[in-house]
Amino acid sequence: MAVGKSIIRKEAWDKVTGRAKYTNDFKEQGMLHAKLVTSPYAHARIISIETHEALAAPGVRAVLTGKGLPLTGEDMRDRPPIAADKVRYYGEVVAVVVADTLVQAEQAARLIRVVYEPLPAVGSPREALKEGAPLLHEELDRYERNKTTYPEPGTNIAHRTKIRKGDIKQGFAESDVIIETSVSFAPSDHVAMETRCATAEIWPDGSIHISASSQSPFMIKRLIHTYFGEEAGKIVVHTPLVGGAYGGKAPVQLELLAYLATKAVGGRKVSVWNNRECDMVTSPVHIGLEATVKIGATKDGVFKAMEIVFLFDGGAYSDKAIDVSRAAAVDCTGPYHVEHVWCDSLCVYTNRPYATPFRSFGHCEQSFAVERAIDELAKVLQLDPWDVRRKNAIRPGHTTPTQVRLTKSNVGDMPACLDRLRELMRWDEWQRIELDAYTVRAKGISGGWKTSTIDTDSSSGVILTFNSDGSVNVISGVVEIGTGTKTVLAQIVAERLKMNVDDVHVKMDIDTQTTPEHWKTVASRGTFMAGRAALAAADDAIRQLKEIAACVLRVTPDDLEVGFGRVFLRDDPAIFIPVKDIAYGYKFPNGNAIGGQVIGRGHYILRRLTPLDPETGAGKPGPEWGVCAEGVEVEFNRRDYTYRIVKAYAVIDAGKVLNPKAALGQAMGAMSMGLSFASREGFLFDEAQRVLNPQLRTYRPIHFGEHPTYIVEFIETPQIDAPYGARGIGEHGLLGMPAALANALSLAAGVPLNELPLVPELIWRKQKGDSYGSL
Amino acid sequence: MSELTIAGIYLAAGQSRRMGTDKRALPWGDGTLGTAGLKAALHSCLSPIIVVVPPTDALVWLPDALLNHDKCRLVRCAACHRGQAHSLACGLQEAIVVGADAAAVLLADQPFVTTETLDALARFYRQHHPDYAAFSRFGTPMPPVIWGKQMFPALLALRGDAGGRRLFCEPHWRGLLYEGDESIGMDIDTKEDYERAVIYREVKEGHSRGRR
Repeated sequence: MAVGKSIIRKEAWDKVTGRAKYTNDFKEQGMLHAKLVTSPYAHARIISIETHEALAAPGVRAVLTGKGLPLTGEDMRDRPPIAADKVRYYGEVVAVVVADTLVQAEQAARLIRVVYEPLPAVGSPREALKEGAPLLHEELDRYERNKTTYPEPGTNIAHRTKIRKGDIKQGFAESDVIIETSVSFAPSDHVAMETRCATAEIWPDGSIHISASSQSPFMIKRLIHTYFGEEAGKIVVHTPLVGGAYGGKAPVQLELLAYLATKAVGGRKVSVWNNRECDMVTSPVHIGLEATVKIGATKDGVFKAMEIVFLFDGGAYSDKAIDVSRAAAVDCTGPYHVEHVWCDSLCVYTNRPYATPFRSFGHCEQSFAVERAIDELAKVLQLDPWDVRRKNAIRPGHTTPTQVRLTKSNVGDMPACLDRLRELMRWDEWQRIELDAYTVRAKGISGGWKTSTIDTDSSSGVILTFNSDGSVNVISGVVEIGTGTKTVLAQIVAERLKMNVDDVHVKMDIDTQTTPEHWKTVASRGTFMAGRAALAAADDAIRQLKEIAACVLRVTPDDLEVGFGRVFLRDDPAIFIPVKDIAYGYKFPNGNAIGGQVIGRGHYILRRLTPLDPETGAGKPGPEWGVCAEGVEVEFNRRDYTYRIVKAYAVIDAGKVLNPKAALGQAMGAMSMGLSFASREGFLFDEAQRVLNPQLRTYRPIHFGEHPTYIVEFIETPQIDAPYGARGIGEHGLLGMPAALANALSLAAGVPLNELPLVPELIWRKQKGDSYGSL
Repeated sequence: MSELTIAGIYLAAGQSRRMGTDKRALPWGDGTLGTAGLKAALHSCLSPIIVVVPPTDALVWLPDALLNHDKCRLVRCAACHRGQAHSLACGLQEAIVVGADAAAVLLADQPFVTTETLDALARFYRQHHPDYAAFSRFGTPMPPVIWGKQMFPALLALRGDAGGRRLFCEPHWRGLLYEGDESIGMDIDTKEDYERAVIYREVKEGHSRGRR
């Protein structure tokens, strides 16, 4: 049937022919445009903002400043939507100009005069934690926050997650060898093709209509209600197709500005759209990290203890960074069994653009630290790094760092992933060879795992409506961000209703007034949660179809089966009624009718999740742990320090592959993102913490023609309560890439490489050039 | 308390090395390039305006009407060939003589500086009493800049071609930065700069005429 087949994405034709429309494609006569005025300083007091010249400019309808606006933030409300008293990062919005055209708004924006008093800027988490470091938030103790956020007033610590499992002292006492590795990388960008944008208008009846390129349309609705006291029922958020998100569109930012802007112009429609430069620094960025990992192990490589400090660079505001720092802590050991674990994961304020999740939600970052340390341990013990990982691989029966007992269902098969990776990579044949005097080939590997640290009451709903020809419409709150989830939902519905997937139509866009809620399209949870809801909705529809058919066929519903466009007697399929004849109710020959349009409804809420204990971290953060083993083969030139990524491997436990080609696409896409991030992406900051490369000329992701050969395989260890056993796979391809690349290059260059991005200059510097100043 | 006296120091003692000809005398609208900024200064609240020129300057670029303006004081700086720091020192010494509480440093090759910008800078300086208040664009401070008299010794200690720029980086000075239109701070060092600026000025003026 439909599940397990490579069904072409429902929106594929529209996308490849250019017909697909995204938020900023919907232009209207009379729509106003906003231009953001941003700060050229990373840390400065705002002395004054003069707007009169801008207000007098042609076409200008309003100029917004930050005075009197409520603070915002998902876990802790520390961010003014427009900076008011001081700016805390380069690129922060200080004013918004609304005008008839974008050009007029841009011209008027140049007439805004801002006087700043520069303050010393804090550049990295370690710098921010030094005694006497300038404080970003003097009023940290006064911010409204949720119950699971623990800021430390008087410091730059927005939140600390503690993981305490076993007895770390005992763990180290039982160890023969203890190694310590530190890693670091600066914040970077998501580089989605579609930059972030939002439009808003207020209708005469007071209803607020927002369109946004977002992963969280339902959260926009909730937050505008929370921040501004608007009635939730009057807020309608519309999200069409989204042109790439990768976590960058999970936070709510421009939507708030669009709402404030429309309010300032009497409800007229206003578009707020990021140009690339703004999208890179003004909107939230991929989080940076400084981490130290200490591993204690026996001489044959069995892990005894891990002590980990993650200092996440949350940037100027904590928004989603708190969650990311917590998610990394929850899975801090990587997919390995460690009896004694001590981890402090801090979300630290710095004067850098504020951070948000990046595909893998803290996990590719975390695994870069841990997996580099594992390779260093293997080197010290003179053991094969694959053997060390295999020996410690996590299995059912073990507990996670937050002390969740693993079962056959809630964790994938890590040993199987490692075994298959070893075969695919021909690991045993060679790990480093010198092709000639200058050319070295080397392989590196990494494990990866992830659970989704999401709200414990996250839910998802699906509605199925039938058409008069018996076909079905699927309405779900999952945003189509390019992952193909909506097509997979169609497959799930088609499978359950035993019908042709071509007859399952999918509503691609979201309208929070008519679409049932899906918490957020994040965390690889679309297929799981919405899939469960879709199954429930299909079962509900089947029940209704059987009820009507039972009446018509004069049998009990229990004797009936739905499939192949019919409701038929299980005992004798020749006795049936076509679904199309009852999808809108059944009309008897005498004109009497029963039933009505069949509308299936289903929902799913995550079960038995708990917040973490503030002192030990014990708790159940997510429903299951997907695992993977990954590898990279590089060809390194010892003369000029350049390298080519030859092959990239991933073996991922998918639970069950619902759509092979789509799964492959997800895995390869994630792998390329991971390699791009690890090999060449990262913001460069000057001493005043200004971003020096906020444009695609100087910030250069991987290009066409630079990709390695991708080799992807899936293991299938079903998650019992997931739709057809499928686990989340949207992120796993990325998890191990940074570490595997760093491990391969460290082996090739013969020097530990613990920073990203791994540009040739870094390798040269580590090998011999560290004493040279900046070039 | 009487209002603070803010003198203007108009530095016109450069050697126009990169231009190859005296840039102050280049045509600019109906006057010369060197007078554009001076006019703005004379119309502003700054007073007096100390114009620093080389010792032997024939002043062909400076019409008598401006030279004889009430607020204008000419200082011939013998050491100006040793670099901008020395011209600045000549101007500062004169500012000290006239008892100024602060001094605004202006460059003769910044023709787009407006009276409004200077008045705004002075207003912020008077209101907030920082150590300095500078014009800035894209986060980079530059002249015009008002230096408080507490900074005069540090400025007088500069040598060679060093301008006050290095003081912007010293964290113990409290500065205010007036982030403004990118054209205002545009300076003209080369022929290409000049040609670009002429076009820019024509577009700007043509545009404003069109609007009226």
